[in-house]
Amino acid sequence: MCRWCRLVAAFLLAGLAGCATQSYRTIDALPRGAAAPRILVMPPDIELSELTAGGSVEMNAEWTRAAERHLKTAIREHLQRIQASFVEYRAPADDAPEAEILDQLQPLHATVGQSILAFHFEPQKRLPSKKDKFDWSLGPAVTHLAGHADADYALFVWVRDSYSSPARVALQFVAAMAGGIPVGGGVQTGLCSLVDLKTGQVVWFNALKPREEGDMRELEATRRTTAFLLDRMPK
Amino acid sequence: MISRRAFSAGLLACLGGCATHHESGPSSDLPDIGAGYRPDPKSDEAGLWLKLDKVEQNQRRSPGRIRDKPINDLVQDMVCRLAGAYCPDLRPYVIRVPAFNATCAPNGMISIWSGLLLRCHSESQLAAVLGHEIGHYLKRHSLQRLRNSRELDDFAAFFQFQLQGPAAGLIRGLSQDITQASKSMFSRDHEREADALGLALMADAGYAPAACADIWRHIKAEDAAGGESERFDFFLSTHPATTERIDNLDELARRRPPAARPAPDRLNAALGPLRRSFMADEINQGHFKRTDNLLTRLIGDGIDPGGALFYRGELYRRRNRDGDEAIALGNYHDACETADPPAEAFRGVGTIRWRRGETELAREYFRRYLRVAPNADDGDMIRKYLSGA
Repeated sequence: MCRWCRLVAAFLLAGLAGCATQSYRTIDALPRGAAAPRILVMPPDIELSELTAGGSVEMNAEWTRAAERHLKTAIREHLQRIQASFVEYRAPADDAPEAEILDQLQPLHATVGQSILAFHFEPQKRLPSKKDKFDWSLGPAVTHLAGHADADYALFVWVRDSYSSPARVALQFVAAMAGGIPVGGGVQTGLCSLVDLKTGQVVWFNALKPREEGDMRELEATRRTTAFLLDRMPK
Repeated sequence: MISRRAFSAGLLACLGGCATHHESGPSSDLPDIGAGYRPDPKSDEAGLWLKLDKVEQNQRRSPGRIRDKPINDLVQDMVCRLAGAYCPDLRPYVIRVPAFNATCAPNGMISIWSGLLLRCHSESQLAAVLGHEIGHYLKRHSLQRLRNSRELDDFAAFFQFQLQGPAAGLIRGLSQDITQASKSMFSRDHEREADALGLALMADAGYAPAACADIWRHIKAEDAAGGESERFDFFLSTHPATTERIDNLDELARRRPPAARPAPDRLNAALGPLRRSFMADEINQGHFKRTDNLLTRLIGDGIDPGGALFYRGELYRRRNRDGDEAIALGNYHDACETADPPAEAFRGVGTIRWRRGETELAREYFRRYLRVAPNADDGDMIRKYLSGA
């Protein structure tokens, strides 16, 4: 692809960022005392899979490893560009006392994020107990992170991305020939949260609308997905 | 319509880009895994391993993991005896789950549940289960099942488009049943293969091959006691009928010559006090009849009879139907007279005797309780009973 085509494409996609995601924030900017608030960047939780013709997803090791690297790079670049003060999470040793809690936080974030998606953004599913407030938390265990890395907020990113296997592509073709029966392809879903490490509260949340676009196997496309995810993060 | 993503993926593949799809292979007749094997990073097998690596990462640090050195040393040593050159590729974990199961993941992670250890009477019986699981690993059964399922589901997905007319729904249902039955049959064949290979591995290592069928006889008896007579389902059962497995394992064991150098039996020493904590978990499950069958069997076979009698007493005391208190009392008494009674058995006798107004007898047992457990948490309360409050 020619360089300016890509630029135009990136520009158009950036313009569409508002439609591609659904976000919520409880604060517009992170409160600043003497120093800029520090953000602890958790390692992105990302898996890339193949979608088979039969409809199951099979993790692809090579893609997943590449996407982990790309997403880490893209997040770092994005935070540098917006001049956020951040530090990257370093996994503790297996026998460190906090290892077990830290391990549980990633899947906990994924679960809380799915719940926010399911119960906040669809008005008819709003939970009565929330009284229309955006009130979601990872709980007090998160405070362990503050001590772990001397930070005020933690940024969690969770992405699941699938790609049609060759057999799936063939099935889509056959289905189209057989009278336009729609057969879906691989889907990219993702969500991210900024969590207050003193309280565990989610102060900002953003999720991609599931889309058959984006290619996390490439750094450039990963940068675009990252921009969708982190574009409106308060800093 | 072909999705943009599918189209671009195809295009990239044509252009020799980095986005080629993972490499797969046949679903059966795979070569056995080699010692020190790692899958090709481009393969579907690598994806399967990575998925399990993530599970293992969590399991390694899980609070449910039992870290006691003696039992972990024993299972590690057993895995090495059974698997020989594959020993460095296999990583056993003991997990606190009060049910009869063990698993071996395709990446070499072996999980041994506490409920399984409680049900093993000897090291040979544990070796029977570990051998079976290592058999799955050596034959790469998980990968074969993944590929087999993919082949069947992919075929079914294409097949559905051929269906037209009034019988389409019926045929679609039928094809789903056939797919399900094929997957189950494939899995049952793997279980038979792992049973045979597991028996060979454990017998070669000097364990008693008769133990393989014995452990299944225990499970069958528990199922029968619990009123769960085996429901073998041609379409859904992933394992062969227990009766068939027992017959096959008995037959295979008969054909083995006696071991030249019999393996030791270190299980009970390695489990030590853990076995009683597993009994405590077991009686919490609410499977009264199954648990009663299990504890009665342990008592009969002399596997920590003191612990088993006490927990059988607890099981009845908690159910508390007519006559249960008397049975509980009897079990506590019997536990007290074993070589290694749990201190709580004396307290159990004491509290029931006290409630029945048999104060002196109760005090005798409370005294015995405090002799065995002078620093018990409830020591002060028990001393109140003795001082005549």
